[in-house]
Amino acid sequence: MVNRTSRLKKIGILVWSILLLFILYCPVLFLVVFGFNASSYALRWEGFSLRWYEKTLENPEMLSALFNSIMVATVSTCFAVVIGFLYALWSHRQQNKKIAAAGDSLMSLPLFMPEIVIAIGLLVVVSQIFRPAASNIGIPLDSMGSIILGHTTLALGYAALVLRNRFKCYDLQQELAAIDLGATPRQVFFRVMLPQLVPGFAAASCLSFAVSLDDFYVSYFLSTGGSSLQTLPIYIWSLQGRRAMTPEINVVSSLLLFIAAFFFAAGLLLSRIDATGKQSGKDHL
Amino acid sequence: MKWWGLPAKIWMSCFILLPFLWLVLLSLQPTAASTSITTFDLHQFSRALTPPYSNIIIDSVAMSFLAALTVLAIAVPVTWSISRMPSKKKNLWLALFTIPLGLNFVVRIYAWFVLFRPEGIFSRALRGFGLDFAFVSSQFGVFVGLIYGYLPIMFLPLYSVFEKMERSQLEAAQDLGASTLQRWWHIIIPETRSGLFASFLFVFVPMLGEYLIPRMIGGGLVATLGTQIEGQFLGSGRPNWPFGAALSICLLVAAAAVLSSSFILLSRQKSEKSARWSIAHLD
Repeated sequence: MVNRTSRLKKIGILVWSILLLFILYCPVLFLVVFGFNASSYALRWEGFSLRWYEKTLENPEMLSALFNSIMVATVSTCFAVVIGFLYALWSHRQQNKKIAAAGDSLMSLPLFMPEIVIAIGLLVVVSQIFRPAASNIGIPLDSMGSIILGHTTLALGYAALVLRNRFKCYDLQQELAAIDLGATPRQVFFRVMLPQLVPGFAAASCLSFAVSLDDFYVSYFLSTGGSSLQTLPIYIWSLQGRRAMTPEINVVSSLLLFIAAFFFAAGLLLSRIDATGKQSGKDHL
Repeated sequence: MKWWGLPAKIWMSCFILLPFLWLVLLSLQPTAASTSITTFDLHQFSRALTPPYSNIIIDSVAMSFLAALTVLAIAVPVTWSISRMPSKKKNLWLALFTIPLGLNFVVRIYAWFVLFRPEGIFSRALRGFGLDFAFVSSQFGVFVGLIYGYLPIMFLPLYSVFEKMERSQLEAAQDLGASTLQRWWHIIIPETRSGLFASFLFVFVPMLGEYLIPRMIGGGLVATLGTQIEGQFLGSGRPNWPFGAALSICLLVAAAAVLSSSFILLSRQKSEKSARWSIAHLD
């Protein structure tokens, strides 16, 4: 009797899980498959073809969106990882735990604020404070620059968190041993500390890159100031609003899906590797 | 060494704290045309808190609250059973439920929209079964879209909550013959309460400001806090930044209200429980 009800429960959970997975994956699978459509209409299937892939990969508008996305993601990842690393080091060395905790909560603000508020806040300060101030000293702050500022802010929240947690499993013994054996501070930094942190750097970079590629709100609100600049998500958004939908939107979406998901998965997996290179099973996220 | 934390702190102050402060100041400006900070009055807030805007705020809070609760209810059974699997199986299932989190949000919502438009495959199939729902251009559609969009975010936080839970009490209850319902009601839910609240808020807060889902699935027909805020800043009509700023302050206040009320609720229940505990032990 007990066995039968527990088996029923197990089957129930299994059915429920499969149903959920179906609902989660099915729309996206349809979208990717319809990118290989021969038809000129996004919604009618007329056989397999790579026609729209060829067409899309030659479309200058889409290429510039792709270029913008990668450019913005690369620059903001560099900023976020460097600033985040310095912060993690400071927070790790900070003796006063209360000060360190206050710093940590400041850094995690972008993770908890609604994105739309971050985006309009940035729009407001960029157009009313930073852009006038920058042009006063002769630096034009265009859409690209302001989107990079915004993406760095979002990515910094994640990078600081990942690197900060990385330091928690940092092996101080190695550093002390190196000092005992007469290593200079520079040698300790480059030969002992940095190698231990390599997986953390890799994880933080991949996640920052994925956050920047995925972002919609910040790019959407900041791209309209001055010259309008499209990143891939914004380009997809604008295609969706047009009257005639061709399978091109499916192709662009598939490309974005694959690139961003790759970096996201890599970041997540790397954040689970501990200092000795083994899978620790514990998330450092 | 001391200055190493400075760049990050300056960055966050310039691009998170300063914008927040500036939004507060901007929301206190009387007219739409005010671009500089001159005076202080509450005109924008009194406009935001009277109909039709007050109704939109209430609707958005209610809809996000219900949607986040639904997401929690959908995710709990699955996540719980994953957290109790042997570790190899566990990793596979966890990965399957985590991957959608890495799929681009705009793309996922668009993919959903395509299948559930009146001429889409899913809504046609559902009509075949006699289920004729308005999945787009309706409040209901936006509600379902919110659930679909935010479901993947729920799994990881919930999983870590269940994973960390102390198991001994549960095993004792099981040995003593407690039913599933009793175990959930008396042990699992009280034990993981604060984690459940945190996961709920993790979904509720971004839902409250959601713009993309109501705009794309609602087709411009469903007004939410997010679409109203966007309209004041980038809308086709006359932009009104101070009013948009006031609406976003309202959004933050609503989120903070739910957050603090859940804290109060939690701490009260905790003290009640500990009081009962000590009384039981005095006997």
